[in-house]
Amino acid sequence: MSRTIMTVDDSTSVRQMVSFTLQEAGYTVVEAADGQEALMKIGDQPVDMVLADLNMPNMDGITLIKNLRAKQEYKFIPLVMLTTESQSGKKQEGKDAGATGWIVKPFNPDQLLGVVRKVLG
Amino acid sequence: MSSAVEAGRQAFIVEAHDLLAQLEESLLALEEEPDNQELVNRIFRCMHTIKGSGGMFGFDLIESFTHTLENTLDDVRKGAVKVTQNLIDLSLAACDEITILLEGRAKNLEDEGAVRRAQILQGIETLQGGPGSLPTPAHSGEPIENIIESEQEGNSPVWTWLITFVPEKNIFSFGTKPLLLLKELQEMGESRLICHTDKLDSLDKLDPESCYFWWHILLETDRSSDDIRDVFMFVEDDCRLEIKNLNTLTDRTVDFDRAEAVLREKGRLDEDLSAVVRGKERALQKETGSMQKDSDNKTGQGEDSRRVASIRVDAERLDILVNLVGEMVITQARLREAVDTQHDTGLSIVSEEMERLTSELRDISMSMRMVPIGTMFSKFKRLVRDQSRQYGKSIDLALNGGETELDKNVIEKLNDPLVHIIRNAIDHGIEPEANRMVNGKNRKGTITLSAFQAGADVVIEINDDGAGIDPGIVRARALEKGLINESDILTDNELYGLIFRPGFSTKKQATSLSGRGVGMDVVKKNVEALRGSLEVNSTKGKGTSVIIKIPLTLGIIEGLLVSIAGEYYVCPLSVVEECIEKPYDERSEKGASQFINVRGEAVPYIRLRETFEIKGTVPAIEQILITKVNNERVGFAVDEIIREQQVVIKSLGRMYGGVNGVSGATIMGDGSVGMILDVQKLVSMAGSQETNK
Repeated sequence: MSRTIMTVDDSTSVRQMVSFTLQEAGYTVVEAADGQEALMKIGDQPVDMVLADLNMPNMDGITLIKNLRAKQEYKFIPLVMLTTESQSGKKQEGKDAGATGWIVKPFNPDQLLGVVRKVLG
Repeated sequence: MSSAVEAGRQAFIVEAHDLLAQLEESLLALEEEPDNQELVNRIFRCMHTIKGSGGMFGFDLIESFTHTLENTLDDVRKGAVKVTQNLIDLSLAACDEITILLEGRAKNLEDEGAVRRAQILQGIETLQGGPGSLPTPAHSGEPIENIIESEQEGNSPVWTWLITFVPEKNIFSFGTKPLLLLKELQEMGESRLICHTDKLDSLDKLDPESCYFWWHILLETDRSSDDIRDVFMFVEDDCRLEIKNLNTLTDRTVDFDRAEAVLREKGRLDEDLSAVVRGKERALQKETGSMQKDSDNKTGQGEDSRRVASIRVDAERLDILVNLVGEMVITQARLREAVDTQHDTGLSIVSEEMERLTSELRDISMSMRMVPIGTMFSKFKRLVRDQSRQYGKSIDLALNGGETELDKNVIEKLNDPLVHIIRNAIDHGIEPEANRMVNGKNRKGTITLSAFQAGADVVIEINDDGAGIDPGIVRARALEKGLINESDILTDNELYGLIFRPGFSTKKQATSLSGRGVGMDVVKKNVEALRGSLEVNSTKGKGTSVIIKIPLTLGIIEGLLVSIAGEYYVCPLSVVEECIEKPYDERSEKGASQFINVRGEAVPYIRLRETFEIKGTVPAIEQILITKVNNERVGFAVDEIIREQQVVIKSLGRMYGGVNGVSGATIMGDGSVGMILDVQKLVSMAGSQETNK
């Protein structure tokens, strides 16, 4: 069964690129524009992994990760954050919140798949 | 894969334009409330997304340019840098630069653009109190190293590594799966995995959510220690990791079986490896280990489970849709006419159902193109801000009714006329501060832009509280230009109307603001091309208002089909209030003002038969459509009222475009042509005839 990955980013273009790449690689993709929407959608659609941007309106990535880790069913799934190099401090903050890893923007489809395979298998 | 990037790139361009508009709006709002943290956050996020996504889709210049800006904004967010006029000016200038970069990606962008950008960055760095750190080329350099390494593939030396991996107990809580990391190592080459279980607690103390295992991995690979470390990049802080090159300790081949036995027994390898090596020397030029390419991982497309609340659609497709619906409305009218002659009940039911569906389809497809006018209004904030400064005037722009919806195409075409009218208001309308003070006005001028819906029209008003237009000056100017004669008597409104005539300009010198070689006549032409009308009111010393009326949508209207002497005419249903029958009175003098008594109110009416000079006998009973035009009730006498009908407006083309009193034509169900009445124009024509008498 194909695995489901949720991509959370307020940028349509990034979501589109992530979705397209992951779908090409055989994953099922769920999109959300911010943390709030992600939490809402994840309620009726369980996912195997979450890729979340850090800076988003309504609810940022760190808060989303904390919220997900607090849920029993998302305690151990890979939660990967998307960051830019100017946010190295955020990496630690993300790890403290329970993030599995990070992808540094800009990234290309191969790098994205590399990380997904690394944490999801 | 490249198509993913290409699709993303297209989406980015559209998205970036939206973000830039948001950015500009937020910056202007921030100028008014410099302490609004929410605005600063929003601005930062916009800039951040533009930068991040820009870099992903190959807009390197945008990425490097926005980097410094983003850092500065981050400092603003943290309170380290204050919001100043200068910051906002620079940020707005940066927005413009990003727009240019976005549009002219393919063009040669060096030269002036680079100079301007450097200036902006310099200014921003000064604000920040030191040069902002430019993005280090480290991350862009990395892939190149990889390429070099992979080029050497095949003849790079194979090393034997001993990796010790001791994860923290809580490693699972980060969503990390240690087995995947081990699997990744195994894919690098020949390997042997030794799992140590000595740290396991007794069952009663065991926490099933903790990790008690640790591993030794023997790995024979051509990869470097950095490559191995990369496998553990996410967990480096959550584990103890040791990577030892056994070949620095011995130059003989390590025997995995023996090494494993030692590791299991002792939990480590001694410095002296003689017990675990085989006799022969290690072959330096060994074939590379099994480099599993995971291309076979590509299974079929995952089922598409995306659910979206809205989608972006090419505007051109919407136009096509509306055109098709237009054709369908015409076809529907023909169907109805055909069915009417058949007297077949079954067929009528189908036809009526079709009609209902067609009309719903029409409404839906029209509404898809409707966008709030506010999106355009906010652009003018920037215009007023920049222009009034350049002109040394202090002007506020007030916006009302931004939520009023109008066809997207119409909004686009309204942009230029509105820009021109606003420029005019700034340049000619609002007086310099000194003059305003003398006249006891508020030092700051105000331009008010408002929009609201009135019947089938959207009304857009541009008011300024400036000096107003002096009818005397207009008259003098018109005489000078030969637009009127000395003997002509004109009302103030008619004089203002002259402003829209080609070649009219009251200002002696064209200024940089309004003097762009485009006069108000072009504005009028543009508005009329949208089937709209334009009107100027002014009170000397109090201000000027320009009122633009635009029909809600182009294309299809609800009309009342009427006939005069067997010819079809269509009156927009939205203006019709009621229909009244009136016996034709031969005594009523031709051309004279005629009135009809509508429940005690005398309503003037126009006999279209006379206006269009149609010959033939007037029927014994005339039908009078009572309409509301410019807030006044006016009747139109016709021979017969046929029915309500949706009509698709077709332009009359260049040859007949100038015909007065008709705004377009439509094709009827039977293929004949019906004229669409321009009610406004008919009323003003009748009005001016009256005055001339």
